Amino acid sequence: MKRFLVRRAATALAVVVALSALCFALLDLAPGSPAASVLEARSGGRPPSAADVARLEREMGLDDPLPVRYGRWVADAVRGDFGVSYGSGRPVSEIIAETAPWTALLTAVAMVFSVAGAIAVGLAAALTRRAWARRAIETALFALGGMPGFVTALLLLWIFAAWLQVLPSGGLNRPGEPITAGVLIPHLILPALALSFGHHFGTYARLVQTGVGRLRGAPHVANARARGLARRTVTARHLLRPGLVPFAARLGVGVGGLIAGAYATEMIFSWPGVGRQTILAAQKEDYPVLAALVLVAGVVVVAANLLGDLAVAWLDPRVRLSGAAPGSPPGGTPGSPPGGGVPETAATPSGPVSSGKAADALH
Amino acid sequence: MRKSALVIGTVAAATGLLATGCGSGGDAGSGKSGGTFTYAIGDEPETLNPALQDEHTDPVTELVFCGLTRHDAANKVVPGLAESWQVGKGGTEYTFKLRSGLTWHDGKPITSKDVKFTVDAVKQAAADAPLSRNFAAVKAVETPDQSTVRFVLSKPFAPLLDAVSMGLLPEHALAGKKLTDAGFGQSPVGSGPFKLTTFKPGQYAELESFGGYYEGKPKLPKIVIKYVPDDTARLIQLKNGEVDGAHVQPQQVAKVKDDGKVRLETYPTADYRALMFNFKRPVFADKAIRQAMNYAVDRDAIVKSVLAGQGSPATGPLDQSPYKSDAAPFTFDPAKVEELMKGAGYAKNGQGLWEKGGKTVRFELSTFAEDSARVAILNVAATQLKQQGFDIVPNPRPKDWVRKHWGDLEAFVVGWGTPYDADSSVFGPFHSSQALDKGGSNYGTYNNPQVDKALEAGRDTMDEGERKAAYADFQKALAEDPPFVWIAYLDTNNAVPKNLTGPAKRTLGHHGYGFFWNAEKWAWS
Repeated sequence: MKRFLVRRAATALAVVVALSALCFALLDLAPGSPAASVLEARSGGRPPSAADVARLEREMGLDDPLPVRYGRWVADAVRGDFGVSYGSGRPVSEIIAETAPWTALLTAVAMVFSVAGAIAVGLAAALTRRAWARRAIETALFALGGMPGFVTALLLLWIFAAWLQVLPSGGLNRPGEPITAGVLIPHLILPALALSFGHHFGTYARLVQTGVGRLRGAPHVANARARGLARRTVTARHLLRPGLVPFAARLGVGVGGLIAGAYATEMIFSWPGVGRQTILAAQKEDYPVLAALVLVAGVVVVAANLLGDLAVAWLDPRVRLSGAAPGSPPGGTPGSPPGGGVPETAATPSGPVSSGKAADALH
Repeated sequence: MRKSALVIGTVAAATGLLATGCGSGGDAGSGKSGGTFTYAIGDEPETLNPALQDEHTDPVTELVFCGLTRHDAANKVVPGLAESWQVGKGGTEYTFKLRSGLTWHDGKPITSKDVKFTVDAVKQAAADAPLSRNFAAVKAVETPDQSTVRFVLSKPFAPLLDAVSMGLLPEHALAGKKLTDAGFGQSPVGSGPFKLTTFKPGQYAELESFGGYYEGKPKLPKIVIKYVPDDTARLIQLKNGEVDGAHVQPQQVAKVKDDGKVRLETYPTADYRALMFNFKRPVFADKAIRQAMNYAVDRDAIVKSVLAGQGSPATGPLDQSPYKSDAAPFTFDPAKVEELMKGAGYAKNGQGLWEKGGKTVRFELSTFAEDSARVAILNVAATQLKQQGFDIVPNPRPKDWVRKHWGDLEAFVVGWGTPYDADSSVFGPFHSSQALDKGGSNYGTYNNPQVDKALEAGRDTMDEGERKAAYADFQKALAEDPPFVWIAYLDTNNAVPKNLTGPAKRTLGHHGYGFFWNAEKWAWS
């Protein structure tokens, strides 16, 4: 287990370092001049002269070669200093501290919606004997799963804020008012629902449904029933718990998708989190903010994947003992193509579980 | 199965509870008498330092800061922090007398030293401060006593009174720091009618009325400016009661008009759109062609279609200025186009295009591809010009490309104009000393000695009559040898609650800036 941990942690670190270098290089390749953006913002949108742009670029140190700038950035970043925003001059660490908690809250609530909702809906679909009900749920989930996150978000926005006018359309509060739970909760509902519905809710519910559904006729369930156990006990202990394994394995990877989804969701609902800040920084060519925020998101995704892998290792002893990466569990999954394939087929009750990384490509 | 129905029921009930139980739509405190006025705007400044912005462009900065002078409803310069001034030595010496008992928002007194500090800091910051151009002629700022400040100029500069409407900076908060200091830019200390209490970049700025303001405490206790970049989102928030007022796009006017809660304030602006030509291209050498194109566009049609009627036809850069003269008679007149083009030796070819020596009047017309309003103007204007025989190739280009290739453009839909002193938005784009190669904003490299002479006269003379004559000469010279095809001035729309009194019409600035110009007089009825 220790060796497995060390190996996974080392890989994760390498990924983060590679990500930072790639991100820095991409920013450099991107068209545009941050200095021009700054000057243009100051003059109310009027184009700055080439001489002024060149002077400011020198001042910002943008005329140094890329490796020099990257080295300087890494040296500072290691000490926790991500520089200052080109536009506002505020320390980037301050911007991260201000935005990260809101993204954490949004994604956490969305995750809770996803997990609770997916279990409830998935169970309902798996347990119902009415074909029409099952089909209705499946169709709804299919539609939800196929709809891009931003479309779900816009639909929710249109229905609840623009049309019914029962929920606020964005932000944390009415500006200037204290942020209390009573103020925050109504503001949180739409973005959290959008993020949850738009990202993996459908997949999760289907994973629960198939995970549980395939167990329904399993011998151990029949055996439990035959022993005269209460229906509730059978459902919770013999159907739900083992049936949730594929779903749980998928969650770690889902965090990455959730964070990716947070960019669009935060933009649409003016949620002042990391995602919105990243997009605003990209629009303004604010490289220090952009580089740091992309790195932060990268670290979180890598950490979530690592935790997901650990969870699978914990759930499935075969992974732990062999020390192999859980992406390719020993013995493979009967009936599923290598690498996961369609999530439903990965969820065979008897075999170990693919972490479902390939399924992520569906979103 | 009963159980499954129960589960479904529970989920549905929970969702319903969430949606209705907590959904108040956020009306708390909106538009109530004595309450906060919350207003949504699209543009957010990077810094609230007035010296780092061009010409009164941000409402928050405008509310927090106050200059020696300010502008009245007619955009004329009137006393601000200075109660009076004298101009001496042929316009090279300005002596301002500060009002008594002035204080900064932090309670410290405002003295002549702050004025000197402000001007020195702006001059030193050079290109970091767009407005440093206005203080180039200032040789020294003297402070004979606490409330007297004297500007000594190297040569007369008529727009100086307008220039000192820029917000005054407090020396005690900025001494020893760079003008671009982020701390000051995020939590500034000013002397305007409203005091900044919170600034959350990307979200909102909260302002509180300032009791020490020289005209007395404003009646509105609080103003919140909320940054909502998306036009549709602003409209939704206005309708949903999340904000009390908002900047509204021309296409949204109809939707706001039916709303019972708000009133629409529609003001003209001095912000115009025009087709600029690159004079390094031989195709534009003959002024008859440029005159003809000025007669070939149907400005009324553009205002009606592209701007949804929210604007007015433009024939020159000073149409909204007190210095406007009737020099440019440009209207849509196909007969005049024909007369001018034939006079210049052109004849229509088989495709209906003007041709001379086997060459048509062919050029690419571009603009920022990201600016949908400009692209729409470009497309309609290009079609109209083509119908009149000009061989236009419409081609919007990304902002980023344009920034690096101003010199390579052939023609471009530009936006200029100021409601304040005429000089600041005509000297840059039209004086030959401001050509692109010299680092100026004359992007088309227009060079007309008559225009140069008139522009210099406009800035050098202190006599109002002479200034008027100079700008009349300028407009006449422009009409004869047009550097642009002027299209339209844009109107700007703001929705405010019906029970808010005070907003008053004034010709506003670039992008409709300046709506809050008299906010100290606003009140709930």
